[in-house]
Amino acid sequence: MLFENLSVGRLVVHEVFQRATDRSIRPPAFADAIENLSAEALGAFRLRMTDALSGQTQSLQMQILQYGAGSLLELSESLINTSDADFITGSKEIANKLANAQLARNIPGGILIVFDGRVGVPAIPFVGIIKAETQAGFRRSRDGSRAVVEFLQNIFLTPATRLYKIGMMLFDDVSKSMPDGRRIFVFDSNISLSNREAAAAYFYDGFLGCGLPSDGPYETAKFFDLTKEYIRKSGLSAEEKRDAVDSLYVFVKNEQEPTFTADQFGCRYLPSELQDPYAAFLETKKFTPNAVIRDTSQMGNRLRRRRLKFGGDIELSASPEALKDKVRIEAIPAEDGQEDRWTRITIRERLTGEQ
Amino acid sequence: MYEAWGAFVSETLTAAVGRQIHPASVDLFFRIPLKYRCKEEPSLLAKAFHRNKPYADPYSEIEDKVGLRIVVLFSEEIRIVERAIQGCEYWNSSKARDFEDERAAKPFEFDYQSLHYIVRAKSAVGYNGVDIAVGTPCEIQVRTILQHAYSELTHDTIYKPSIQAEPDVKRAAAKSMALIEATDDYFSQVRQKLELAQAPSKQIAGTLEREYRAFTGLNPESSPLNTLLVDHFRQWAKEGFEVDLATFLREKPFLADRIRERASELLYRQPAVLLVYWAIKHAPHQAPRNGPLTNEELAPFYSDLGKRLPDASA
Repeated sequence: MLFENLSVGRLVVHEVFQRATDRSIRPPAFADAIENLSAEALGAFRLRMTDALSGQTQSLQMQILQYGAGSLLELSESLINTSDADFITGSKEIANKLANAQLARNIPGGILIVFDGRVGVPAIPFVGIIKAETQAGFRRSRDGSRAVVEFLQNIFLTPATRLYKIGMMLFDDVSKSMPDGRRIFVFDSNISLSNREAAAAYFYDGFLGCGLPSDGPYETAKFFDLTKEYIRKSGLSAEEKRDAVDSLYVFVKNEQEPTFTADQFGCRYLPSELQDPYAAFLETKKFTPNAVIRDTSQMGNRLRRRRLKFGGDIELSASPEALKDKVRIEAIPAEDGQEDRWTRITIRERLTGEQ
Repeated sequence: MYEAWGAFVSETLTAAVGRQIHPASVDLFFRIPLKYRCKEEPSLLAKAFHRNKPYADPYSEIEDKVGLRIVVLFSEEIRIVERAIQGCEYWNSSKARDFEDERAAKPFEFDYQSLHYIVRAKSAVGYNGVDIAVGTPCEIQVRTILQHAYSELTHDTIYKPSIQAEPDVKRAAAKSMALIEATDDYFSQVRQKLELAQAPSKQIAGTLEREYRAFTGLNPESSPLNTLLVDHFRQWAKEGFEVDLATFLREKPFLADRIRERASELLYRQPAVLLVYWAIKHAPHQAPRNGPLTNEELAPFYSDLGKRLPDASA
């Protein structure tokens, strides 16, 4: 999902708090009116949203688990096209839900922003929810002829993305029965950090009522195959191709973060002039620009062995590790002097048998 | 009266040349600001009596009592000015000297070169409250900046009979004129090559201006920034760009709203903003590299397209 043509309609800002020492809920501080932001402020707000939800970051399309009466999805859907007064009332209910979902005392309070609008081409309605933790900072300004430095507390939605979480509920077609025709995207930097996933669960699970997508194994394998295909067809030299495929194995198999995006791979491991064509290639193959759960459980042999082909009839098969550590492959001139036509393979092992 | 006629001619001619070279700026085309100049009495008298020419009625026969000088960069541009002089409805023009004719007549000589016209008022005109009589003359000298340099060097020196220039001085002057003529040829070559190199940019800029008007309904306000943007981002405008851009804009009509919202910023009044969107859509990683826009300026373009500006360090 590409979050282009994002337009923000109504926007209400409440505040939720950390639980009290006896773990009881402290009631949220509600706003009673819709915010009226300047065009410049709205531009900055949109910028934060697209930055967080775009392909280069870790926004995930979630599985919708709770969609019955009283669920957050149902509540959000009821806010579309309502009067401003109902919108404010509904947003307060959302704030209460978040306060309820923040079970542990170590979950910080923060600003809760509920907003609606339209996104995409053709534009579809959405309801967005942001929980933003506040920061402190300084501001320099002029007081008459004197420059003064002020200390500001409770700043929120700065570019520091680790301080906010976003849930976006898109309503493609509400005439379908729940949960079809609805999509939920979540941006939460905690999801993508290894061993921080628990810190994110209260937001997407307890509060939004959704779960991590189950298509991780399928998408991971698809990513692997498509990327390999792209590298094979690219104009890179044989050696560069081998390096890129080496990186692909490491990226899919060995990296620790629970999620990844194709863009991450492109930026880290492909030469800069290939990054855009690579992204365009994946787009034509309909591979998601959003994040994918890293799961190699269904990739079977593909990650265990690599097969290199020489001409039509010769194959070398090895584990990725052995290929990296024990095999050296170099192109050499053929006997008739033609460059790079033959290959010299050095294997740092004895021949131990034949299959 | 001569002063008014000089002012009138210079104003009319500036407008006429402006029309010929549109959309380029006349102020840049004239390498020295256009200024008419009336001959002072002493200089007139000197001319009437000391040149070895018989003037029966010096005051009306001397045609350069008021004159103006136009200095351009390339010799081809002289003919543009000539067309403007000839095409004017307010005066009759007659050529007094033409360096190309002189070159043809005396191919072995390298001497003062300039194009001179005398224009005379066709009918009586009023200008700034002064009545200008029919037939009032004004001399117009048109030359390149190189030819002008030569005449600045030699004027008041070797052509004045009071100074009998030594042959070696004349020889040096002729050598410099020959060099100037050769330099003019090289200037022209440079210009042609530059124009050839700029042709694709110009074509793209033309497309962008048209599309910008149609797409946003705004009047573009091209500044040098537009050229900078086109020069950087045009590498993503491949063959068929005109059609592709039109399709792209049709698919993303909301971009027009964004451009209009920000039209108070100079950047969004440049037609090339369309090319910026186009380049970012097609090459989000490469487009910002080494470009003329800062990250703060680029971020909204990415946001509008639902993308994120790649980390500057990446």
